[in-house]
Amino acid sequence: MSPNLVCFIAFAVVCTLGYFGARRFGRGRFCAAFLSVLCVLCGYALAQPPSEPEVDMAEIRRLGDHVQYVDGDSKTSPGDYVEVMGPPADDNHKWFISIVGSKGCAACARLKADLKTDEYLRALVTVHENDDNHSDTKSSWAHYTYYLADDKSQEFRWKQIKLSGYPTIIVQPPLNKKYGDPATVVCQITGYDGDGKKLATNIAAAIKTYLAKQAERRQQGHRAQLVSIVHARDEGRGARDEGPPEPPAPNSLDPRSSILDPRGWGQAPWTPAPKVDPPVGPHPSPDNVLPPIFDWPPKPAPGPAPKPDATPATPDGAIPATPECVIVCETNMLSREDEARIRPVLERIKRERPGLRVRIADLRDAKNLPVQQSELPAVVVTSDGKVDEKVTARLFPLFTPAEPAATPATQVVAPPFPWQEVATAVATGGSIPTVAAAALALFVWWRQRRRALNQPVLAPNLPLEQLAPLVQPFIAQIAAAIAEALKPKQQG
Amino acid sequence: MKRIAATVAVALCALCGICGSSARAIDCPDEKLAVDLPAEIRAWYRNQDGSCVQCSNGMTGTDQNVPAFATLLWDTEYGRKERGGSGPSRVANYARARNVRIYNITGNSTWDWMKWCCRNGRGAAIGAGGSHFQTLFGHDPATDTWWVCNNNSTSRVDQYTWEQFRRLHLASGEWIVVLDYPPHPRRPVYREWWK
Repeated sequence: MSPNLVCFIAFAVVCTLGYFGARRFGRGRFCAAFLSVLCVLCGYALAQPPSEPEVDMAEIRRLGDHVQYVDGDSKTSPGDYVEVMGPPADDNHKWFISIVGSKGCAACARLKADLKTDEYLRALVTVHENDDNHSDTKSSWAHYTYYLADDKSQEFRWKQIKLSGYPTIIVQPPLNKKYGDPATVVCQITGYDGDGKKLATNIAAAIKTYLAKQAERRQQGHRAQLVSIVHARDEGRGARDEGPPEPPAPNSLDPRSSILDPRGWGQAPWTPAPKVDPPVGPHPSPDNVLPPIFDWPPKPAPGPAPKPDATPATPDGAIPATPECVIVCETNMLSREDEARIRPVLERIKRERPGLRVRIADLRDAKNLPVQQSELPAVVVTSDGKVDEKVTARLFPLFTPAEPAATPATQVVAPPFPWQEVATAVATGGSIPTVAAAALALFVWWRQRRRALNQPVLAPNLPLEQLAPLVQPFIAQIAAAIAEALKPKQQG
Repeated sequence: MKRIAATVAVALCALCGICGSSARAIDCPDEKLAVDLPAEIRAWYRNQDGSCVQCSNGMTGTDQNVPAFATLLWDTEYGRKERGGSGPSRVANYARARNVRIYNITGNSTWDWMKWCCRNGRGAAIGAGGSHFQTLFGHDPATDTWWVCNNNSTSRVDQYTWEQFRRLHLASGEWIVVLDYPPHPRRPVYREWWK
């Protein structure tokens, strides 16, 4: 029975006895109150823990001022690390790199192993020599802790984020708030393909981007930063995992479980992480590793998948029959400069052959094409198994359009003002059809003018330009009718 | 009628005396607290048989994800359960047996160590109350406020002024146990920081 419960029962019993006792014996309110307080104190004293000392105070006094460091190595003799010392240097400036793994996860085991050996990962995390699950508090650049996803004692930490695969690497800013709220997920990477350098580079890049953004925000002023943090906090709440968290399993997170459990303290209320990681099967190939399902920051959605190449397989050295345009360059990448040079050539080819497939190939992949290294980059158009056209680097200047003379902005031709429509509307005295027609004409004129100036227009998809010609004859007819009507009057 | 009212008033006063600290309590997660353990998990470490030192150490073990220390109270693969009263030497022995890295600190320097712990996101098992151990949850240097979770009342985190905390710690003798492990990260949340 808990001490508080004992105390409460004692209090209730003694209060009742005291009250009725005082009433029976006519001692009055004072006596009742006094007895009640006295009994509460007695009950509280009864509820105190057993008299056996829980803390060996004699030993504390005997030791005096000292700090003993137990290094976690059971082979070390007890007295080796006894000395008087102050606390170590602050480490609240360190970033957090947490890894959430699961039992029997080969990629997790591989990542844990690589954290100790891969030089790029070691630049971020120095794992403690006797402990794979934590970083060395003194030498590591970042705080690192390995968590098991199904560890009931830790799962509350991940309630606000989405874990979609293992291992999940979560990077967070330091506790000292120098780089913003330490709860912020700077990056979350799911899966590990065995490439430690790539993982370390991704983490470092995310941190750099985050720092750059922080610096930018600081420049924008503290006020703006505060507003954005508050806003972001609201958004973060909104971005929590969908659906309510699952209710805790019985006897796991129920606060009463350890009290009401008839076994009392006989068994741990949860299954702790295993002391030794269970053996896992052979490392899968990178293709078999869980794909990154949910990463943070989110990457832009991939574009539509390219259609499968309908071109039948061609023997090596043969030019495919399907018409295509091949940009041959040194490597598979085009430099910005080359791209600018090739663009006019490509535009001309695409104008002449609409729908032509364009691809980039390096010299090794374009062995079937008559291109020499000295001619690179080159554009080759093929069809029916033969070369139709070949434009090499030397010919590119011929296709480059001459620099247009600087034209003043006033040269932009705007449509003429619809004087006729406006004049008609004024002359007819503003009947509904004429005003509507004039308004339409004005709107169309205004829209055409903005289009001519490359400015955004209102309701761009509304086909008003098609209506304008229909309205114009109507306006002209009205104008003619008015003119006719005015003529006899003038004669008369 | 007056008698009933007087009795009720006395009872309320007494109840307030018992539960006085709960009115000032805060709970996890809170920026002021270095330790982040929900009440459901703290309840696992309720002191039932005079094992306050192991209860306090268990809480810090869970906070820093050190299962060998988090499971001190039970028979597990990390070792036999540790129950009953403890002193610095017993704690050192079972920490060594379980390959757990700890600082076992006695004497005047406990105050500096406790401040260091809270400043760097860690909790500590500390002497608090007459021959009793509790878990240090946080310290606010601006107001010199201290937060401690008592393993006799794990549902709340008690708040103390400097004077109260000083008396509390001295009552049990200056002894604290600090785990030499990284602190836990804050509960991660998604924020669109790149915008």
